[in-house]
Amino acid sequence: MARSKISTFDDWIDYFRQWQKDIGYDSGLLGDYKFETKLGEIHTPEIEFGDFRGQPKWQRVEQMPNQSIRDALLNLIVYQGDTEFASVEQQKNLLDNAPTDYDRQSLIRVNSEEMRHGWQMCYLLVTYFGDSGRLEAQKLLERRAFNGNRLLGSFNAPVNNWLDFFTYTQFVDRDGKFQLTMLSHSGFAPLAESVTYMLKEESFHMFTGNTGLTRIVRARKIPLPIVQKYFNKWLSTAYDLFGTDHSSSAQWAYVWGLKGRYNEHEAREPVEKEKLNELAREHYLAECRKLVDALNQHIPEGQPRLTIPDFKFHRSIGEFSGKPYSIRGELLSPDEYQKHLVEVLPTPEDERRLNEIFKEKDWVLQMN
Amino acid sequence: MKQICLVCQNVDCKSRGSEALMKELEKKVTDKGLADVEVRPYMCFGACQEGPNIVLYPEKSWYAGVKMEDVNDILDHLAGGPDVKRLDRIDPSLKELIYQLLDTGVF
Repeated sequence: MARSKISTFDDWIDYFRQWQKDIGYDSGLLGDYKFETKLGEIHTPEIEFGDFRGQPKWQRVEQMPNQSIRDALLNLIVYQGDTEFASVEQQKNLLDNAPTDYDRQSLIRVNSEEMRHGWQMCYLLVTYFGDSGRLEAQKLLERRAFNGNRLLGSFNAPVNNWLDFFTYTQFVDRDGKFQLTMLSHSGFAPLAESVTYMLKEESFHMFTGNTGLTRIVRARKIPLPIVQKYFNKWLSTAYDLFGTDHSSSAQWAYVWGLKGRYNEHEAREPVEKEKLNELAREHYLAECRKLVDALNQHIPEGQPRLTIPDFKFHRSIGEFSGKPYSIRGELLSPDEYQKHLVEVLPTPEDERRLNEIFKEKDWVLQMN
Repeated sequence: MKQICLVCQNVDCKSRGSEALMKELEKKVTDKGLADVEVRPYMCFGACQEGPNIVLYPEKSWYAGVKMEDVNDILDHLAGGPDVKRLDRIDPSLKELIYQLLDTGVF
C-alpha cells in the first residue's frame, strides 16, 4: 500500500490549507470562520438495526467484529468526504459574479460549511482508521472535480452559472441531506455524531437553492424551458447518487448497522434489504416533487409547469444506466434519444442566452 | 405595530407537524382576540433539521423545534409576555442571514 504524507491531523490541516491554495480559493473570503470538528447528539447509544441491533454503538473501529465492516465504513466516509471538497471546486468560480451581496455571502457560507464537512470526514479517517485512513484523507484533497476524477458523477459536472448553483443546492445538496440522514443512524458513534451536526448546516444549503429558484421563477426573466433543462441535468445525476439498484453494498451496510433507511426512526414496515437504494430514491423523488409543485405555484396560468424528470432518464449507473429513456420515462430508439438529449439538457446556446440574461440584474429577485 | 407569526411549511417542518401547529396558532390567536397578530405560512428558514420553525417578525424572535405544547407560551409572548427562551436555539449567524432576507420584503 502507498504510504501517506500525513502522520497527524495537524499534517492534514496543512495539506487542507494547501488544497485551498491549489484550487484557487481565497481563504480570506472566509473571514473569521473557524474550521473545527463538531459533534451532535446521536439518536440512541445502541446500534439501531441489522445483525448487531441493541449492542452499544462502536466508539472505535477496533471494536467492530471484522475487517469487512471496517472497510465498508471507511468507504462510506470516503465517499461522503469526496462530495464535500468537490462541491467547493465546482462552485468557487461563481464568487465573482454573484447576483447580489446576499447571494455572495450565502455562497461563501455554503462553501465554508462544505469544507468543514470534508474536514469532519477527514478527522474521522485520520483519527480512527490508521494508515489507510490517513492515505484516504490525503487522496480526498488530491482528486479534483475539474479533472473529472471525483468519485461520483454529480461532483464532476460543471457548475457554470447561478442557475446551475441554485438547482444544484436545491437537488444535489438535498441528496446530501438524505445520505447524511441515513448515516445519522450509524452504529459507529463518531460518524453518527458527526453527521447529525452536518445535517443542521446542510439545511441552509438547500434553503439557498429553494429560495434562489423561487426568486428566479418569480422574476420571470429566465424562460421556464431553460430552467427545466437545468432540473433535468441535475436531477438525473442526483438519482445516481443513491447508488445501484439491488445493491449488495447497501445491503451489507444495513446488516452491519452502518447506514440505515432514510426513515429508519419511524419505519414500521419490515426492511427490504435488496431495495434500500431504490427506497431512498423514492423518498427523494417524493420530496423533490413537492418542492417543484411549490415552485409551480408562482407560475402564471397558461405557462408551462416545471416537472422532475423520470427516474430512468439519463442514468449513468444501475438498471437503467445508458438506456435511452426520455424525461417522461418512455423508451426511445438510440437516434430519438440523441435528439431528445439536445432538446432537454442545457446546450451551449442555452448558456449563451443565459449569459445575455445575466447581464441585467432583474433575472432574479434582488435581495438588497 | 402588527406582529407576523411566520410558520415554516416546507417539507421537513411539515413532516414534523408544522401544518397542525399553524392551525392551532391561527385558532388561538383568534380565540384570544390578538387583533395585531397575523399567522402566516412561510416557505423555509434554512434550519430544517431543527424544525418546526416559527419566526416572529418584525420583532425577530426565532423558535425552533416547536411542539404543540409550546403553542400557549408562544401566544403569551405574542400577547406581550416574555420570550420562550427554551426554544431560542438557532445559530446567531444563520438568524442574521434570514432576518436580512425578511427585511428585504422579497418573501
